[in-house]
Amino acid sequence: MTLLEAAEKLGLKPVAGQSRLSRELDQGYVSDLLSDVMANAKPGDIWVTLQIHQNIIAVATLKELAGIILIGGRQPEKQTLAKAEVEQVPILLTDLPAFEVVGRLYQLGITGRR
Amino acid sequence: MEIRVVEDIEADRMFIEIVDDGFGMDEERARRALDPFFTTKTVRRVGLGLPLLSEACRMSNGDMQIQSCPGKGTRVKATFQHSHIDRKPLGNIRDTLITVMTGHPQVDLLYEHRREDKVFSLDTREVKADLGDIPLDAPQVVSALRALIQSGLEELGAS
Amino acid sequence: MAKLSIEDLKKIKESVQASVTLREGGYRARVNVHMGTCGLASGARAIMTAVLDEIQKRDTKDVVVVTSGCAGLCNREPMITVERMGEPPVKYVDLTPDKMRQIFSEHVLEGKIVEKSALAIGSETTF
Repeated sequence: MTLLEAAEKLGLKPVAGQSRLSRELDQGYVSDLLSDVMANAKPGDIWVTLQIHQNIIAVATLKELAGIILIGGRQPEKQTLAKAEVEQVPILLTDLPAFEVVGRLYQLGITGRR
Repeated sequence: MEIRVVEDIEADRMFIEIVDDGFGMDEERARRALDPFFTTKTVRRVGLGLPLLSEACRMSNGDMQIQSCPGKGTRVKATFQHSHIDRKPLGNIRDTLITVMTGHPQVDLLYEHRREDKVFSLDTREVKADLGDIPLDAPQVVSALRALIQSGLEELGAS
Repeated sequence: MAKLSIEDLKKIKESVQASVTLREGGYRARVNVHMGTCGLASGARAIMTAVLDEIQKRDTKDVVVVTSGCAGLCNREPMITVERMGEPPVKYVDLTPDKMRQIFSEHVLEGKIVEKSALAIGSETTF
């Protein structure tokens, strides 16, 4: 399943990084601590978080993540959107809380590590 | 290099100040240093140290300032609201100090930690003077320093 | 100002005396622990503590430990580079303190590269 397909199924709104939405998804990671994501996320993970600061784009490129889902109706900061466009890191928005989004992704077959 | 930590519980503030006498930065560079995509590294386009510290300050109702002068050095001052629930813990500062001292023994390091009215400080220049010929990163020195820092921090109530 | 106590200094001086001349003769190996932000987030400091601990336990006098910044391979941190005198440097990746200890006893001390943890074997020596 691609990121775009998952977004359509879950009603996620892409706001940046359109060119990378066709990326195949496999696994995901949920955390709001950037140090934790840097230590434990894997390349290709879809990252679910409430963090909106531009540092998330730096972490996403460093770890080669598939994209970032911002939860709870949060909006990325202006600089975050700008950097996401430059780096083509997909950002998708949802009003759902993290637990619900992760649960629905899981039902689509996007799992974590066991 | 100087690292100063101040825990002012009464004023509900915590400060971490890092001062060096290195190359320094002009105003433009000091501003850009907060951009996670600015770095002087050649292996990567991303430099996260200062941006992450800055964000950690902001998340705990604090702020970070960089004062720098080319040829003179840099002073980074990070402030936090001490009681803020999202203030990250200081962590294992003992091992961090040992890492800095042994990884770069040629750099003189002063660590000063104030908590309310107590103070713990350690100056590697004085340690080196006491050691004479013996290098700062000799294993016996490292374990003695580790124990010294551990007991100093415990006495402060900061470990 | 905290200072090393007189007893500490005495003990240190006694135990180090014999090795001062050995150091002047050169080092057997250098271990470089990479400490960029990605390395630190993944546990590089524990790797540093492990290698310093091995040196202390075994009373090794001719291995130098240095730290450096990010090496560019942020997905494989924590990382170290081991360089024995006259031999090509070897990068080790995805480390844990236990792997570090194994690399120390097998490669640093005895020259046997731990292949399962190694990433690359360099072709130039630097010291």
